[in-house]
Amino acid sequence: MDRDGTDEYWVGRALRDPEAFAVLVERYQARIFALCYRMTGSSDDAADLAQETFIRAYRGLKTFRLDARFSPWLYKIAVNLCLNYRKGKATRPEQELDDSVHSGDLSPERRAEQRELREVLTEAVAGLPPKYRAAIVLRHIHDLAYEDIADALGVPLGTVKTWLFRARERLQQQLAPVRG
Amino acid sequence: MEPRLACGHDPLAIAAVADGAASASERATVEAVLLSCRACRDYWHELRWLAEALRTPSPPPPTNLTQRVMAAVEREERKRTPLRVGMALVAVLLIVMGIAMTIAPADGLTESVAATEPLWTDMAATMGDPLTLAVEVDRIAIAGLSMAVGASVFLLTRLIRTTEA
Repeated sequence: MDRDGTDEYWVGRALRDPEAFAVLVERYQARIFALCYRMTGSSDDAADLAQETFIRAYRGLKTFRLDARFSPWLYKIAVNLCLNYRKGKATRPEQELDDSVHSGDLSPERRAEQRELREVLTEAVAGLPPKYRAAIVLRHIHDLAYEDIADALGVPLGTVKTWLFRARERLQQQLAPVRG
Repeated sequence: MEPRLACGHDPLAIAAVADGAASASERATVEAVLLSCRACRDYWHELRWLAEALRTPSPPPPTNLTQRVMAAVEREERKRTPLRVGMALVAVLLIVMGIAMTIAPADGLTESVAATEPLWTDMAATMGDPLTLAVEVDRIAIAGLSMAVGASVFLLTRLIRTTEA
């Protein structure tokens, strides 16, 4: 199957042929999984939530307006699932990724500092109120524009700016002791 | 209340520039402030540092995520199709029956009833043919009922699809 074409094109095709939905899943699975992972701190839970996100998106395709954009709508489903998931559970971040991803040729001391910083940062993000965390994750991990974050979270633009400000404020406070 | 930095400047405007969300004129205003205000410059550097620190990679999704989703999609489709097709067929059948009864010649029905109910035929002759009237009313009522039920089943099918979505 030729995988080119806009998201909206593939939504149209998936409405006629369920197999076409696989293209959208493949296109967004890494981003949705990463979002769920950052929101839950657990790979297993993130996989379940990502799967549920796509299933709900598939069920909702018939109500999706083809003149709308697919990705903010998909993010919105994922964020809502993560926020509801969060109501029943506390986030326990797993071990962060291998040092080699970011540390390059750093000295052992510098690597240790960076590792500590990442651990504190991961804990700090996990400790944010869920809506602040969603705003930070969508902005910094997913590089979403303010408007798309507002769409995904279902709040006005001004609220997104305020949540980002509050979230950053908390993160800065918690990271201050480990900053180089 | 709008957040403010210790210097009194607007941190949201500085953040909008750092996030690439400011217009050209907003950006120019913030840049001018950054040149003149130390506290704003510190905040700017904090934002840049935090953005960099947050850029940590996430683990990759499970390799079978697409297969898991598509298997669930297939199950959904299998579950939905027979019920929807069955209900749609019933709806079409009822509507077609209703339409057929509406446009069918009334005489045939009247005659068939008259053949089995001679008494009614006699009464019809003496009382200005109430039998024809009664059969006609029944026929229209049944046709209407059939179409209404058919339409309801059709709407119910749509409702189920919407609910499933």
